This record gives sequence, structure tokens and C-alpha cells, in this order.
Amino acid sequence: MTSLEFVLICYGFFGVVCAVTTIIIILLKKKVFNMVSAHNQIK
Amino acid sequence: MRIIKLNNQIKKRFIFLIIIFACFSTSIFLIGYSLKDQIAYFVEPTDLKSMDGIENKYLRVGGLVKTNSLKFLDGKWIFEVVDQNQNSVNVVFSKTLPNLVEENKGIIVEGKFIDNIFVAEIVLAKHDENYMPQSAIDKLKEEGKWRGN
Amino acid sequence: MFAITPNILSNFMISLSRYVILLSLVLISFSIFLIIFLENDYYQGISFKIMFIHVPTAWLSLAIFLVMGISSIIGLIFKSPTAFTVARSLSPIGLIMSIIVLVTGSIWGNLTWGSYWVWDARLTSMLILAFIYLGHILLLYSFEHFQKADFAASILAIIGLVNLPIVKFSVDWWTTLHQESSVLRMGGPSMTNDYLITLLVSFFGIFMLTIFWFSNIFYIIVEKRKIERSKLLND
Repeated sequence: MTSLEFVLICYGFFGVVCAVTTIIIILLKKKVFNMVSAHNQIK
Repeated sequence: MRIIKLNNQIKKRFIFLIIIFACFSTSIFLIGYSLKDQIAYFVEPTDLKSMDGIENKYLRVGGLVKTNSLKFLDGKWIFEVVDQNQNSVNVVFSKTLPNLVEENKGIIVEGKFIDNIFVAEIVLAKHDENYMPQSAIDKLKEEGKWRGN
Repeated sequence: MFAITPNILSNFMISLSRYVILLSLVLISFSIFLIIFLENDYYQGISFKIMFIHVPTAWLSLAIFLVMGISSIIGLIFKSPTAFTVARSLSPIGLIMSIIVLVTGSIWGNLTWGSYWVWDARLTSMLILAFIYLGHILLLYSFEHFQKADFAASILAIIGLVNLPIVKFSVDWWTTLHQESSVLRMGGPSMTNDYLITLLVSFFGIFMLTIFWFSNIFYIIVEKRKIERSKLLND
């Protein structure tokens, strides 16, 4: 493999890790937010 | 009264933490200090002069590739590793070199001394912490400030 | 730190998080634009461009541990739930950062040194840092009561603080294959200004991203606890 391909793998790895983490965190936050509003409605 | 009691507790916890931290950092310091020769990744050619029994001992030697010493003879790379005190080691290496091995650039060789010649099994290129585009170097050369090769 | 309850901090951070993620996206895309048009290094060629991920994430993994350690100290001394929750929400971010550092660093090492991994002082201490992050997370989730978990994990974070100067100064104290620091060093940065500006832009982009992660994780922890507490009260 050429140097350029290795560099692209690096940036790709970084991008995938950051994107996946951000998406997981946003989904979890939405879930918790829905739980909170459901909980408040019961009250 | 209550405030004084709380302050005492806080003081106690503070001292407790300082003791934990001090104990740990001292022990880590002692480990690091007593193992400093083992933690060092390589030795320089100057250090080899004061070491005895280096023949047939597996070592890592680091330094710069001496200018005009890198040659390819009979399927083997031959070069000299030199340090700041101008002490050098003759090295033979029979595999392919990493891309960044150049004359007057950093290198680390791993292997053994056999008959005063260092027979390397692994060669690693060691680059330094300076980053510059070629255009900046050309500019420095024009101004006569460039000190590299 | 005493008047700031977890609730106040969580609400404050979450109200800012929208702008933070926007700023982060702008900075990261700007830095990608800068990186693409940047001239290659005279010696390493294109492979030096890995630096623009490797160095910011390395700084962040150290800085996050420092904040974690300090907030653990504050939490232990003043019994502050806010400080404990800060430490709790920072450790997964630090783990991700240190994994990125190790992976990008070994790809860079393969391109320049000719080896993916060597056991020199800098690489080994960085691996230890990643394992301390992992241990911190495992400790946090191996207790039934979160107060006990916070206590145990904060002791680990304080002990792990000893490792930080070792990671930072390992390249000065011992001979290593890893190069020395380029930016945070005596005598100023050893790179040209265009590289330095790009590095700082990408650092602030990634930094803002971690702030966004942090505020959301903090919110999740605080709200989950509130729900659990009110469920217990209702029972």
C-alpha cells in the first residue's frame, strides 16, 4: 500500500470512530430524554 | 462548631490523598530510576565505549547515518551510525531498509556485534520533531540560515 | 464546586451543546480543507499529515485524564457529587481518544519508522494510560452502588495521575524511538506557522467534539439517576 492509502485509512478510522460515538451518544440522549418526559407525564 | 468539624474531615481526607499520591509517585520514581538503563530504548555509540562485554550481546544502537557512508554492496547495506561526539559504529544489514533511512538522518539498529562490526537484524528510521515544507527550506537556504543537509 | 449541583451543570452544558457541535463541525471541516491543501513535509512526505489527528487526540487524552484526576481529588475531599460525575463521564471519552492515538500512531510508525509497535517508553506509557482508562470504566460499573464505585474509581484516577508526567516527559527522560514534542516544548514550536495553525484548528475542532460528548454523557448520567431515584421514592 502507498503512504496516501495509509493516511486515508487513518483519517477514515478517526472519522468512523467519531461518527459512531456521536451517533450512539445522541441516540442514548434521546432515549433518556423520552424516558424523562414519559416519567413526567405519569406524575 | 459544625463548620470546624467539617474542616477537620476535609483536612483528614486531604492528608490521606497526599499520602497515597506521595507513596505512589515515590515508588514509581524509584522503579523508573533503578530501571533507567532498561527503559532507554537505545544506546549511542559513545555509550558503547564504556560498556564491556558487548560482543555477541543483543543491543540497540541509535544515531545518525554518517554522510557518504551508506552503500549497497553484495546484497547488503553498509553504513556508519554516528552520534554527536563523532563516535561511530560500522553496521551491516541484509534486508530492505525502511523508506526514510537517509544519510544524516536518525536511525536505530538492532542486532549484535560480530568481530567489531554491528550485524543488524532490524533497522528503524527515527525522524525528529521538526516539520517543514520544502518551500520553507528553500527560503531558508536562500537566506543562508539552513543548517541541515 | 460546592454550589454547582450536577443538575445545574448538566442543564448549562446541554443548553450549550447545540452551538458546541456546530462549532466543532465548522472547525473540523475547515481543518480538513486546510490539511488537503497543505504542502507535504520535506522528509516524511504525506505521512506527516497523520499528525493532525495524532497530536490533538494525544493532548486531549492527557488533558482529559488531568481533569479526571483533579475532579476525583475534589470529589474525594469535598464529597462533591458533581466532581465525581464529571470524572465518570470523562473516562469513556479518554479511552476513545487514547485508542485513536495508539491506532493512528502505529500507522504513522509503520510509514516512518518501519514498525507498527515498539516497546519504547513513550508508547508503553501511553498504552498504560489507555489501560488505566479501561480500568476506571470497569471499576465504575462493577459496583452496585454508584457512590462506592465513584470512591474506588477516583482512587485509581488519582494514582493514575502519576503516569501523566511519565507520558509527557518520557521522550526527554529516556532515549526513545518516538520523536520529542514539537509544540509544547522549550524554545517554541519546531514547525512552520501554516502547520501550527492547521494543528491548532484541528485541535479545537476535536476539543469541541469532546465537549459535546461530555455534556451529553453528563446529561444522560444525571437524568438516569433522577429517574431511578424517583422510582425508588414512588415504591
